[in-house]
Amino acid sequence: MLHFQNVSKAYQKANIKAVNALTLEVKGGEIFGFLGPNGAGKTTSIKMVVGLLRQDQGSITVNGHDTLEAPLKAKASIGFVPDNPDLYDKLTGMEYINFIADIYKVDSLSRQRRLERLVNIFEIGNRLERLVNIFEIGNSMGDLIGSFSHGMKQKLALTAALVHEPPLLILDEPMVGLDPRSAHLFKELMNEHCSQGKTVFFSTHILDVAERLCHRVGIIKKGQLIACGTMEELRQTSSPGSSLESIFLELTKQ
Amino acid sequence: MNELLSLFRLSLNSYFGLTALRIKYLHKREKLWEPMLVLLGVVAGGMSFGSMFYFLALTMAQGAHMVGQADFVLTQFIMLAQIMAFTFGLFAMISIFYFSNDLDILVPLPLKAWQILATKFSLVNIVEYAPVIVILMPTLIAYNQVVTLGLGGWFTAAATMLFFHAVLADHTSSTGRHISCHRYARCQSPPPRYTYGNREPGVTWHYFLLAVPLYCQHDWADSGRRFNNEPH
Repeated sequence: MLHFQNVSKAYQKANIKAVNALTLEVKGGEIFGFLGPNGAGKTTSIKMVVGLLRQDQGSITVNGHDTLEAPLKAKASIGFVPDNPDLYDKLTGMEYINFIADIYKVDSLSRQRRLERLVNIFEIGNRLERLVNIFEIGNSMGDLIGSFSHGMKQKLALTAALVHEPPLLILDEPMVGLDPRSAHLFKELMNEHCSQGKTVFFSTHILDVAERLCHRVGIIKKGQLIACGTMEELRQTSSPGSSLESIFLELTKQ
Repeated sequence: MNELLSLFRLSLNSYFGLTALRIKYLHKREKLWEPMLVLLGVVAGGMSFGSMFYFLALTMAQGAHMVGQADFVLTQFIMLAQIMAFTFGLFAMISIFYFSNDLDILVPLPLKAWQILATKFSLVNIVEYAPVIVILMPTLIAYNQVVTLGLGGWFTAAATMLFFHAVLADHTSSTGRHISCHRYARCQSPPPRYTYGNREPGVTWHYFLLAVPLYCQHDWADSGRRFNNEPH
């Protein structure tokens, strides 16, 4: 579903490689946790997948589409939530969701098949209603996004990312700002998304969540993938029965 | 096309804060004196500036018409409108292209680079219409009183008003783009955000934008006369 092949990216000002020869494959139907210390290259890797940055070398494939050769097809397969959801402050939540749905062609405005259109709208209505209920933002959907708290913006960004039911959901530290209940519901949603054969790729610093939720985990340090595998596979490299936290601390110590 | 329209609607709404205004003044009905005051300012300002340009253009056109050079008035006022559009457009350009942070939202979406650029460019054009209308409409009315424009003249005038400041907007956009290029990639390559997928807006579009207003401007009054089969 998501494949990094020897991907490198250097920032000219820093003159160091933020991501260095990253090769990684995330399979369909799995939840993949991308871990690493601050400045390890997690966000840079994610930004390259969604097109906010261009890799210096290597290739990234999403759902079989190269992100540089067929960017629109690749992007159409992605639902993305950034680490800092700076949304349009002067729009309402519903306007923003409708815009995202329009862009992903969720709401077909085909005039030729009116009946089909109505069915589509009905399905969207159901899906939206369900997502809005899950995150309990129903009462705020008509309010301006500028009046939302950070957590509310995060919930809205998650709702927008899920509205077209993407095959690949990419989340950059999605739990930041979510209240415990929403975080719990969101984890359930990730499991459900995954059970439909879809993929979740997310970066996080909350190791407990990664340990319990992820099928596989990758640890990146100074731009290089230093460990990748299931929890059992990671434990084999460390002492038996050790937690992800101790494995992480051991692998990332200077 | 639907995505483009949706993006344009969103950009327009976000830039002018239409939803925020609707909620504040129509739904919550808070501080209703604010829009009243703004409306009064716009009407008073528009009328005072409009009448000033009207009488100025009328006097100039009457004087110039005596020596058979009435078209000179149009040239002068178009120049003035261009300067005004450039001044207002520069600020709009900077805020819409350079300081807006919506690219972080738009780039990950399945939108083509030209769709994002076209939307932003259209927004700048809309912002530039205000000074153009305030200056050129009274000028046209005054000019029409001295030299009858006729249907063709009005048609050409409308086309000119619609397109002429696009020249400035286009070149300011290009300048902004190259500044971005310097900033993001130290001139070694174009800004990565706009070239995602190895695609850039072609130079043809720039030339088209240059050609249309220049053609409209080059002999505005003459084209009106030709259209109406009037003698020179």
